[in-house]
Amino acid sequence: MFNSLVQALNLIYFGDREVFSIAFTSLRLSGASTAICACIAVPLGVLLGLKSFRGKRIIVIILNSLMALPTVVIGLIIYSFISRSGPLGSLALLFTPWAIIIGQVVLSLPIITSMVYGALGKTDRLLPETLITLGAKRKDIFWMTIREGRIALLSAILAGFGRVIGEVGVSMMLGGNIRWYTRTLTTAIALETSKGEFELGLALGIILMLFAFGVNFTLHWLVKHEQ
Amino acid sequence: MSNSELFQVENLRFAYEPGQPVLEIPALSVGKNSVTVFAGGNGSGKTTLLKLLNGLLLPGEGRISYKGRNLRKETVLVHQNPYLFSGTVFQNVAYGLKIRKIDPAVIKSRVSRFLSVVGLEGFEARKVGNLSGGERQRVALARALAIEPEVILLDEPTANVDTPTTSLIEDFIFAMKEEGKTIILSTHNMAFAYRICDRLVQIETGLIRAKGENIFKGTVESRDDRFTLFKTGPVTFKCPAQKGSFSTAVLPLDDVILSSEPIHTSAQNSCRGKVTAVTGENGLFRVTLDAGLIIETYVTGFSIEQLGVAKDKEFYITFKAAAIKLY
Repeated sequence: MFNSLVQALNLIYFGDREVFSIAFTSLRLSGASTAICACIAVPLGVLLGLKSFRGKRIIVIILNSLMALPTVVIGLIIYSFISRSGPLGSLALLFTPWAIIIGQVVLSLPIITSMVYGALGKTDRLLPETLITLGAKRKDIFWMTIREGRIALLSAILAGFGRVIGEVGVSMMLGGNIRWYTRTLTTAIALETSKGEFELGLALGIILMLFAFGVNFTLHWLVKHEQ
Repeated sequence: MSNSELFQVENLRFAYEPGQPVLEIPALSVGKNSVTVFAGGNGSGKTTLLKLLNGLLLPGEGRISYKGRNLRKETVLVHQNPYLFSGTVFQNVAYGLKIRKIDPAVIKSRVSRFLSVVGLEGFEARKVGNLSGGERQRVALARALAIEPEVILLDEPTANVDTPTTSLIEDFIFAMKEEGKTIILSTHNMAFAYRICDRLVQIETGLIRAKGENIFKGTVESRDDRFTLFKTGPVTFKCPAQKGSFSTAVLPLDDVILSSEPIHTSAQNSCRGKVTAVTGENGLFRVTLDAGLIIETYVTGFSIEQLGVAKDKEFYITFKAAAIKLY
């Protein structure tokens, strides 16, 4: 075990090409899916927070339930759409980085949306009233709500990122764990561990944990800096 | 409706929860370029009324019209614990101007002008997180003033501020009135209310209470160890001897005695006035007299008959020095 750890650290320290390629693929795909997801989920969460309409409660309940959706189920559903015989088969998306991105967007959408909505519920109820009395239009209220809630929104986005960079199901089923192409940290760890290659698995695991800690530290720093 | 009236409230009923009205106002009007004070305890409905006048809430029943129309864009409300946007004082005060797409140079000069109006010159670059309660209140005032509204609604402006800031807010309210603005505010600080009001409306559990006092604006004419003489219009009242500067005398309606002949009692104030109105109110009659200034009193129906009170008849008005409170 100790031996494996030393070898793993060696792999990272001497910049093993494959280790870094895998880490970069993970970062790139999770970054892209989180960015795309944030563009949809943040406005959605803000609208849910600001508007009151019929059926809003149901939507919130569904979103909360979807947060618990297993990654393999998401993988299965999207697989059935993009596999060659599926309705989107002609796009040849299966086993490409795009397939992983689509799956991860679906995975993080309910998480980021619910967290944005929840965070806005905690912002001061005087904010919208203050904006309206100063003559703000809907558009102004929307942007100012995002501006005032930016730390909460950022933590929602980072939580989404944390979820997708650590998931295996979607990446494995939709990406196929193809070397130099769709192999991510999590799929590689699963593979190397099953092969008995603990050094490589451990090295990748350490990088994955560093990413996770990095996200948390960034978040704490931002919150502290803001205050 | 006369031209000097800005707001006209008719048969207003408002409830947050169905079946539990928090405000019921059959009629109320607010005059232009005046200071109207809604006074009352917590939960009396003052804040709700301000929000209704601002259009933040819509009346469940009844109507609120602004200048006779259904339009209230010229009003701005400053909350009791105002919300300040994160960032600098400048960003806060400039916000209303920015969303109106006003020229940045104009914004800059207006922000510094209104910050000096509220006594915060040079505060532009300060972070709002480092401000005291009173400073926050004044930033919110400057932010509201910057958009140059016709009507300023202030919810409990003195609730969270110290005495110097309270007198600064008083000066500011008088200055705004001078500029032609209409100020409507709520407070439970009665001394503050008496000093600044042109009109006092007492609200209790969502209902407007019958007028309880005569409020006279004036100055202290002279004082000795027996009395303070307070001059209001052509009339001078004898008030209990006291130190301090006063601008307002408050005389409860119940403490004014009406008589057809002069009466000799311990009461130090007496004058003659002509009845201008008699209105029935809650089983009593409110008699309005013109004695060079308007004085009102409540009398019973029995007294109305006994004295033969009627419009244009003259009566003596008598009240004790001790009945007058100076503010």
